[in-house]
Amino acid sequence: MPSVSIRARLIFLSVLLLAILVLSSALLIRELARDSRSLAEEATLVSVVKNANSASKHFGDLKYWVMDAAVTQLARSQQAAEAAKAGLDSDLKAISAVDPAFVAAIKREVDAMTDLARQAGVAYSSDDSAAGNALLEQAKSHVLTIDSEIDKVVDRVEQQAVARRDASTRQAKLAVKLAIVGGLGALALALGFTALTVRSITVPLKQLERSMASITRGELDVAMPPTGVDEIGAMTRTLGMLRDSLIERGRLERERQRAEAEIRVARDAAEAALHDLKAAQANLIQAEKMASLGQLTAGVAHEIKNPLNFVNNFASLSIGLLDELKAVAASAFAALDHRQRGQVYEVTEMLTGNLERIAEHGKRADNIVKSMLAHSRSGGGARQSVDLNALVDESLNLAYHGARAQDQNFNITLERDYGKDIAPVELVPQDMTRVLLNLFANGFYAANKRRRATNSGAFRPVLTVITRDLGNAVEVRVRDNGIGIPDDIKDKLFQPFFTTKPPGEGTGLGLSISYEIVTKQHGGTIKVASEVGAFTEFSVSLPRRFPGRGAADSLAASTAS
Amino acid sequence: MTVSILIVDDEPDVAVLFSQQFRREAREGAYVLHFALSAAEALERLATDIEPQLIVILSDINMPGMDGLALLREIKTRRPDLPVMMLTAYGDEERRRRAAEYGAAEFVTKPVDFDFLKERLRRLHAPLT
Repeated sequence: MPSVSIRARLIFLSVLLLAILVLSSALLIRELARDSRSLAEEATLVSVVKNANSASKHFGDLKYWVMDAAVTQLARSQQAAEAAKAGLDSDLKAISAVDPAFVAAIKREVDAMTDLARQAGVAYSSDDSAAGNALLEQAKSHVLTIDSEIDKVVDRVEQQAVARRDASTRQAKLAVKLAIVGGLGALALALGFTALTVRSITVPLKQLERSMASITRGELDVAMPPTGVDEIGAMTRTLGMLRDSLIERGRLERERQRAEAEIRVARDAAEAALHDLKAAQANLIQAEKMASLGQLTAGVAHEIKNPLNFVNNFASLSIGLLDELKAVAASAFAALDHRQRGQVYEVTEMLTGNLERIAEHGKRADNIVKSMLAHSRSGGGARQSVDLNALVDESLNLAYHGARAQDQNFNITLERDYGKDIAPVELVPQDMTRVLLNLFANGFYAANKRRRATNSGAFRPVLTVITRDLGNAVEVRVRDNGIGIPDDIKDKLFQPFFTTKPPGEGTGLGLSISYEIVTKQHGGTIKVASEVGAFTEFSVSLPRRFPGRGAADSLAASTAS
Repeated sequence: MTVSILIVDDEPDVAVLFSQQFRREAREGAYVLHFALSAAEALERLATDIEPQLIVILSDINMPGMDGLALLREIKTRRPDLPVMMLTAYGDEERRRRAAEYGAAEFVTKPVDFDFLKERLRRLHAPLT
């Protein structure tokens, strides 16, 4: 019944209950009224029976005193007859309410009898006993009629009273039944309507309560009860609005959290970008420093190369010229005495030796210059798709046998830890080989230096070479268990001409050139980790695909984007 | 038969070096060496008749003014059949490629290996003798 308000329902129920009460009361009142009426009738009949009996007695007195008066003519008998007549009339008057026809007939008979008796009395007084007797006989016949009529009336009225009493009893029983049935019916009806009404209120209230409890527990997806036009419907709608606002609030909360998460992600990204930027900046500065040093180196090499060529050319030329001089002046020298010849010979030998030394050191300088010029090479070599492990292993063997050829006592344990299934990498093989040779040679040098420093001979030099596929890049790590690199010179490692080796053993250009090749030519990184007296590890990381620009350019580009 | 070689280099000592290196050949009358200190001077010399017959020009690449490669192109427009050898301290691929493209007969890196150079010259000279 949700289409009618609860107030209307309660009013309706009250009206209904009132109506049931009124109707059932009316019914009972009607039945009671009927009962009381029939009881009154019964009482009337009972009094009529009493009157009839009284009438019968008064008539007996009357007929006696009338007969007696007629015979005796006594005033006393006359008076008793008058009194009996008055009693009879009174009784008849009461009966006339029930049976007026009977009363009228009786009155006529009584009048006739009294008249005949008076006439008989007149006859007796006149001593006409025969006529008196005859008249009395007539009067007696009336007396019989009246007695019989009165008896009949008494019987009839008694029967009526009994019938009336029985009817009243039946009616009363019926009324009791009716009252019980009607009362029960009314009660059932009232209970039924009350139950219906209560149910129409409590069932949706229960649903609403459950929904409210669910919402309180935070189960916002709970089904809302159907909304009618009644008060519960209004509450349901209000609850629905509450739920919607909670859902909306939850949604806003989730959105806020998501936004916060996004902000956090963005902030992290920005911080990471800042970190990357700082690293890139540091790399850029390092790259710029190296590039300018490289340019300076190349410039210096260019300037030195020409005069150095003259030195070398003239030195070797002079050796030939000196031989020529010795040949041309041989006869003149022969003419000299022993001491002078010895002096000439000594001087020419010294000159030859000096020129040879000039040529030798010139060649050394030329090699340095050539290495320096490698800085200015702008990636002349062709990029090829290369099997990294093969390239590394080839270079390692080359470096190892090269070192063995230079030094008979050299030995080192090589440990290879090559990553499996490394896809081919694009790089310039000659240049990367050069980098690897440099790193291997440095590792050999450091490990051997430590071996020489430890007198016991228990030290075993080891060089470990590791290759790894990093997805978008590949990594080569070269680790030696040598003397290590002090922290204060780590920054200078990649500068041109920086070397810790004695003069003549290293140019100080190996790592500088390696740096150029890895960063500038291949867009990769080269890093060093070391602990003095323990190990040194160089890590070279090369991107799989490099657009072919200089490191500085690509860094600039990444900074700008 | 004596033939001429024109050597173009902005370094004056190159003349001294080549003169000394080719002293024996000059004495034997195989070559006469001519020197120019710039590309312009070389083209000037080329305009006049060089005696005896000029069989080859040796030119440096890095020179002030017109450089060796420009000189090479110029010579090739004037005397397409005259061999030109490039001598340079910088044996990089780019210069080597351009020299070959412009028609250089040889690309020799400094310091000059004179035995190698003399061998090359003999080959140039041989068909003429």
